[in-house]
Amino acid sequence: MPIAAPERIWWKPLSRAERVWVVTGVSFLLLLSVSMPIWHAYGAADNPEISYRISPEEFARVAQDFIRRYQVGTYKGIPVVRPPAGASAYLIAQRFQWSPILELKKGETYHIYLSATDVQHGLSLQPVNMNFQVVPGYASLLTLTPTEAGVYTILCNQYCGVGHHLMAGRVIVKE
Amino acid sequence: MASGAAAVAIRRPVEFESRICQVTGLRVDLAAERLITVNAVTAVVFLLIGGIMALFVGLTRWPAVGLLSGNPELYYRFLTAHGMNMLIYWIIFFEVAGLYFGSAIVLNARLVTPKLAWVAYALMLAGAVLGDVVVFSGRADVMWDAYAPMQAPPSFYLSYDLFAVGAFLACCIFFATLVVAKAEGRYRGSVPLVTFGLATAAILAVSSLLGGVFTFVPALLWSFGLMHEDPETYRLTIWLLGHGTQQVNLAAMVSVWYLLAYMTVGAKPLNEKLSRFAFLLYILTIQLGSVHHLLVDPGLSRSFKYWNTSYAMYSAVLGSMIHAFSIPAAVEVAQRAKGYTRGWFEWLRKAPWKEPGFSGSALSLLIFGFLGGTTGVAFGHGPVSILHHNTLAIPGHFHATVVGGTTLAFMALTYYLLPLVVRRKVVGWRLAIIQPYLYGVGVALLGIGMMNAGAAYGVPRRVASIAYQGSPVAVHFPTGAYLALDIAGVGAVLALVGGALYVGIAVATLLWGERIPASQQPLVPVASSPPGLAALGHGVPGTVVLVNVFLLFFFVVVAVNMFFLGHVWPVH
Repeated sequence: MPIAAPERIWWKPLSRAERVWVVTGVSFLLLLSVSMPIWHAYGAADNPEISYRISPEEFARVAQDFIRRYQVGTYKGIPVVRPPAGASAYLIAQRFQWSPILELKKGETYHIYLSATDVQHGLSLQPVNMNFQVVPGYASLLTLTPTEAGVYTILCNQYCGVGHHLMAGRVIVKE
Repeated sequence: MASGAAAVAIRRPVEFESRICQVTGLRVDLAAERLITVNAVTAVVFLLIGGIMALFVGLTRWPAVGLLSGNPELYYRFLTAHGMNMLIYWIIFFEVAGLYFGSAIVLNARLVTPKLAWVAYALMLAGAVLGDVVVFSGRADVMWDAYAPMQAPPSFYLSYDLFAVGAFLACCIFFATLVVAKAEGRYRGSVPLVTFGLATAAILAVSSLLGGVFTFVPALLWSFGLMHEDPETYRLTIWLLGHGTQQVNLAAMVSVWYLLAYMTVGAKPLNEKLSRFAFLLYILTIQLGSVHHLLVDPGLSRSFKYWNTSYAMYSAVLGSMIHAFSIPAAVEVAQRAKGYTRGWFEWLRKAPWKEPGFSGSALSLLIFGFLGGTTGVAFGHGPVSILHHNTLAIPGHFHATVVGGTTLAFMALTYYLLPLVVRRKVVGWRLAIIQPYLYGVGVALLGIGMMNAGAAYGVPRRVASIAYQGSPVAVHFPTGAYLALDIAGVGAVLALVGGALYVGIAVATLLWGERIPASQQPLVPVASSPPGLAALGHGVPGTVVLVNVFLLFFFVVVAVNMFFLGHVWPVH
């Protein structure tokens, strides 16, 4: 019984059923383990590898330069920016807004630098359903290729303050 | 019972005030008994506070009700309080009671330094009360994890520091009790399995609390303006604490499963070596696995992330898979020895399903394994994390593990603690019979609804509303998301009723329960191991079928996630 001391010698061989189950479990988990490097080699989506340390002020400055350079319009006060195909782009998370609205071209690959200027945020691209942590002081580099034209929503899914449930932005993908 | 060498005292045993339990034959240290009762009762009080918060949180996230959607500030405050009272105060106070039980009572020993144990209790209580005061007064609407650089006042971090010091003291008293019990010759040979499991929990608690020190001491200094805080370092260390404590819950819950399997059907661990090895895997590897919270974070390399999740986390998963076999197998063997030998599942059909100790731990095992465990492994798979990070699927997963698993197991244990330790007849036994079902089904629906809303529709966690009224861009979730949240809402209501029943039964028993004289048998039947119980003598075909169904389900959960991962935009 589990609340009494075990027999003096309890180091006993496993039964057949126990052995089979342990071997099955180990095999299954090994399969899961190797699926990560295999997915990395052959799968299209993997978590971003490259990130940079950058102060929030510096990131805001670089991102504003980018916005000024490629701005093509404004939507409800948020700049709409169309970076050249294959170029670098910047996305700022700030209580409680995403800036700018990026206008991307389908099938092109962009280098999107993502950071926050105040607290932590979460980038949630919907309805594609891709999610990344956004941490001030660090810029994540997302090398991203939109594969479908349309109007997409970006939500914040890391609690960032009382306006957290209002923090939504846009990504537009054109043919 | 132990055979062979007689107990050897290497130190003169110190006498202590005790009674002999008529049911288990254990010698009960009265000082330990008082501490167990007070810690467990305190736990239930915090469960009640957290439960009231759950009412507001659950009914706000159910869009059909939207209780606090118009008052987001209050929602975020109550959500912060919900996390702290449930995940930290309720569970850890109950675990401290469990540690004192697993050391002093199970080993027929005395709890060393009961006075220091009261100091530990006072520190934890002071931390918990301070935490609640700071949060409810509206000075720290930051969530329990309070990610830097979002800042709370110093008193918030201080409350965690006080609580952690108290919990650390309690762990030290547990270890000291084990050492002194051995020295005074209170038990022979190895410690019992339940004590071994709780020692696993205590070791993990110490290493988790180290993460707490790395997090909340710098945070306290930072809140005073005395040092710089790096947000990613904060995330790394808080998950050493945050994930580590979940493994404390896991080890404590598994110990309770073994204990209740014995008390309800007389199941005896089939292979002590295997079960202990599984606990050892938790100790050795699980802390490294905490990186699966940071898979889509900047600042950490991919190989670091994948090494931690694939080798460290999966070794711990192997431990859980071993228990998931060993416990049902032990129950099957015990039941077959009683004569329930027909077919694969007569032993399961004829199990004491009207015994809340059995039904509660069986449901806890099912919910933890099928809903919590499989999804935890899938969501913590390196690249798959992109699909779920910070969506409602994450709290959906951990409500299946911590609530459907740990909390339900602790509730099931309470129906034995009340007559055996508090020595009062459980009030409202008929309600107690249905309580685990109500709570278990409720939490299962809650978890399924939340995971569906998050995984399939990207509904974010920790938002007061998903209407996005007042946001610069319009956001519309499809009908399916609302349907999933309806399922979660119905589940939340069922779980709230089940939780209220539990608190009601516990409090009514404490206040008005008929006292059980020390000489009398308790009013719950405690099974004894059937005679002729030989390890696996009858084979365990039913368990083999069950674990294979589980494995198939596990495989499907992972495969479905990989399928969806194949359909997002290419990113690296």
